[in-house]
Amino acid sequence: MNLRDKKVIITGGVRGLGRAMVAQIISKGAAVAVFDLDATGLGQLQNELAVQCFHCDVSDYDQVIAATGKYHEQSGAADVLIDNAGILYSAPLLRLTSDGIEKHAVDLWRKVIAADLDSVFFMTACVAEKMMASRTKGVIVNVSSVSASGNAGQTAYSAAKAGVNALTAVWAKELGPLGIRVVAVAPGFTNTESTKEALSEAVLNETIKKVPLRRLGQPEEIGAAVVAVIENDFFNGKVFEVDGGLTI
Amino acid sequence: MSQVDGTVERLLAEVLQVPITTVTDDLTMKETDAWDSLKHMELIVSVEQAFNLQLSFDEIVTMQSVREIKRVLKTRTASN
Repeated sequence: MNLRDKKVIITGGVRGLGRAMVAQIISKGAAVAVFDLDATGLGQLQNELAVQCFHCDVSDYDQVIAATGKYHEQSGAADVLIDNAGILYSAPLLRLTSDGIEKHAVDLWRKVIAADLDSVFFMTACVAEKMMASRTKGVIVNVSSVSASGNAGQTAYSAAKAGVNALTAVWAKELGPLGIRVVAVAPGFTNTESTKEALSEAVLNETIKKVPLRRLGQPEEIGAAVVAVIENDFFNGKVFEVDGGLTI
Repeated sequence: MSQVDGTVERLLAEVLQVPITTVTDDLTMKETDAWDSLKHMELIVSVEQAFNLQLSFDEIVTMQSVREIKRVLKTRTASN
């Protein structure tokens, strides 16, 4: 797919990886709409770049129905959906404390699954429905993670991202006959605020030592991978790993 | 027999992988296990390619029996 004049929705586009994707997709000549929870950030983004902004918690199905409905009224079916929104949270199943063994908090488990997995399901259901109804041969890009293969210390996050990979494979089979491709990009550890917030400096330094390239990825490198999978019309149902060669 | 008759039976038999003799006008999606929603979309794509047309969402939803598929296609091909 050539991105020029295409309509692209990016969730979580206000900061981090999403912000880099917004800039790169715009540079390809596409019309970008950003769905994000951060109202202030959306306002700032709109001042800086020519984007449509939708204030939406993509882990809330009712909000997704309302926001995508508004988008479709204004713009019709999207050509591309990039499911990027999510949270990076690190916690093991069990943690040894001075008081004994502490189990992974259930509310945090649910929060991570909602933000990183439910959101992908909700957004894709609403956007792909419109693609199907209008017979748009679109592309769904799910942002996964190197942690999908099971990163110790990231119980909920790893599970959510493994789920994202599974959805990618399933939806590629379900939607492929309609000409809709579903792909994923799995970044390794990347130089973003959320990475630094989720991992201590010591853990981050240890992680970097395990990366064959001995560095973090840059958001622009992940954005370039997203563009590549959109542009390659034969890439479908697979996960494009962009992790500097890291194996977890 | 119109082009619609015969072609529809052949496409359904191919997509559902059933003998063509079992594809009668009375065959419905609801009463046919092999005709699920995924097969339905596969059928729609086959029909669109065979008749060189694009069906609307409403038509896709309506076409849940052989009789309805033929009705929609005869209307569409007559208006072309």
